Amino acid sequence: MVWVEKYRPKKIADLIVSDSILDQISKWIDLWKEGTPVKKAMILYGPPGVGKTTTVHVIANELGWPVVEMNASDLRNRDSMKRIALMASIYGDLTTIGENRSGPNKIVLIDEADNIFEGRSRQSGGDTGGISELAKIIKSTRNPIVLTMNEYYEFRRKSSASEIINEALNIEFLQYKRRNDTDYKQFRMKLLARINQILREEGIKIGQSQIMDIVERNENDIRGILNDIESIRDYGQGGASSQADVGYRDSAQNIYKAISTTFKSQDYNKVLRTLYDKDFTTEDYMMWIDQNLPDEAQEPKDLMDAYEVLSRADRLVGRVFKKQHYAFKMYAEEMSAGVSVMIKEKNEHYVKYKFPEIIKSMSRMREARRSREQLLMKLSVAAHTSKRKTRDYFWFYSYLATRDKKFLEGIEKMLQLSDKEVARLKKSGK
Amino acid sequence: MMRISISVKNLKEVADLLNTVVTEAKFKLDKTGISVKAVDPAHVAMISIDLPKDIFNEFQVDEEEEISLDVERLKAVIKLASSSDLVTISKEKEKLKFEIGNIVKSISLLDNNSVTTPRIPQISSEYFVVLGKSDLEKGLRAAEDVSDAIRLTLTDSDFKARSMSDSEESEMVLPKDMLKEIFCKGPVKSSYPLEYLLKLVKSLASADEMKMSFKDDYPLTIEFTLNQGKGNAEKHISGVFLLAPRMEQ
Repeated sequence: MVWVEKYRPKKIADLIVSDSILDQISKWIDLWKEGTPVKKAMILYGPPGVGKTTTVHVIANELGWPVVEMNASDLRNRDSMKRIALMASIYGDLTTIGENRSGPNKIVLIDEADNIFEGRSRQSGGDTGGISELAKIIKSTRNPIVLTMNEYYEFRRKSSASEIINEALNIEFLQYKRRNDTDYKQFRMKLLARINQILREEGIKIGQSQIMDIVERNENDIRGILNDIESIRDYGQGGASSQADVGYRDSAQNIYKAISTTFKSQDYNKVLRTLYDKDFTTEDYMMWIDQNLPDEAQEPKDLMDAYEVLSRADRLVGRVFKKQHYAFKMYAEEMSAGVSVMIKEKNEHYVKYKFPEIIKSMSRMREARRSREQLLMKLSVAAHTSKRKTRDYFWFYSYLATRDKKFLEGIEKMLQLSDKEVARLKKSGK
Repeated sequence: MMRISISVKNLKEVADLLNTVVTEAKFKLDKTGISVKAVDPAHVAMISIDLPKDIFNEFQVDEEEEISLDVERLKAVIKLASSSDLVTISKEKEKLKFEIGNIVKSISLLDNNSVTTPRIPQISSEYFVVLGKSDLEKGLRAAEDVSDAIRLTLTDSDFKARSMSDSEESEMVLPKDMLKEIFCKGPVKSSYPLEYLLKLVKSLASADEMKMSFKDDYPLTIEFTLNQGKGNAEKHISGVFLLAPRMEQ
């Protein structure tokens, strides 16, 4: 059994969770024992591996309540929500029938609720209707419903999600707010005590400094910490002392982190490692480098060299799209990462990375572009030629439209152009 | 070594019954027969079926064994046969081999650890009613488009099944003389998920009557026997179906 399972907490005392969170949860459970609270659901959100799901199971275990769980590996569309969550929320539980006949007797857990994908078609096996059904279930439930999620803000953007959020007690699963909090000390103490206890039980000796390294690198991801320490055991004592053996966690790297590593790190391999787990596209990455490079590269020569690398990568991306050999896109990415090597003089100062202007202006221009495309489409039909060719000759049509009133009137009538399109046609340029 | 032979009709009925509750089930085989227990993911419906050794045409089980199956796959295999056929099932490595007439088909087994078997809770109510399946089915069908739940009421003289929504209502009353047996002191009532009851009744192809016992806001126990009235009691597949009560506010 892997350690994460083997040492999964069974009692509340074993949880490495701040008292304030536990306090909020147990107050909510107490409300359930007295009757039906106003907030019938609870959302626990926070990064992976901090113990959200485990906490729910431990609390249910202490209460002697079973957990009816729907997690990301289950289909969670409207039908299965009805079949499982709805049924569980209003009917009793056969696995614990006995004394507590009245009042809530189970917890309905919707694990990783941010991964319920609404609005996909039935063919792709999506979770259509799942969230709106869940919102309904929460209104009528007679048992506590708990949702866990990593991306609270992502979830909030889904349709019907705001209904759930408004009906729920929302708790951010933060171990501590700041490093100088008492919560932080408590968290660290509990965590280290737990690690050392596990090491003792397993009969493994690992230096405290290495433990600290692992803890630091994983931030608050307790699952990650345990997996890393276990992997040291698997690699044996010999490898245990060297950092490289520990391996790196697959956590989605956000673009800020990737950009910062690209600019600040001397180590090309480290930059590549950051990119392995990226949650953005190669093009995004290149645009971010493009936007922020001048702020980072202080020496003109560095700036030139870096742009040289980036432009080569950009040319490759262009070819990749043209030929549709998308597998080659990764080379463009690795080339772009070479920017890190080109900047010889690292900028010691903090640079606030900016969102690429080009994306911003492109989205601003989207409306204008769409009307132009429509116009081109209409023109191309009339001219019996492709949209692309029409674009090439647009200046000509434009010239005619400004010079020849008859032509303009004729084409306006024939293509049923709107005023906007007429104005666009008169304006020269592509 | 495991090799059994059973009528397609019986196997189909067992598969249909299991399918009302689960899609995967774990069968327990020993020298006395085969038993299977399953609970639905919401813990609302539970089923337990016993297939004694004597109902099989051939029964060779040398040691206790557990076999986990995808019930849908099982049903797909059974579809190949007509109900008067006999199917011979044997285990070969991690596969289950079905021989039906000239067809041989193997389906893969599921990991026994991935399929959980529930513990059947100790439920007992001294109040019960024995009624014809077709009578119950009529009452359930009447309630079908009214609500998701059905309220059962038992008194010393009748059995009622009632369903209500804001706009519609349906009720079936079966007086004592239409019931096979009844035992109750004072009225007891409780509501249950209609869908599961309907599915059960539809799947129970060869049972004529069933025994239902419950009390106030308490699980419903339905006992049934397949192929009733033919041959002696040891030669029957019997089962218990449990439903959780609706939690009243």
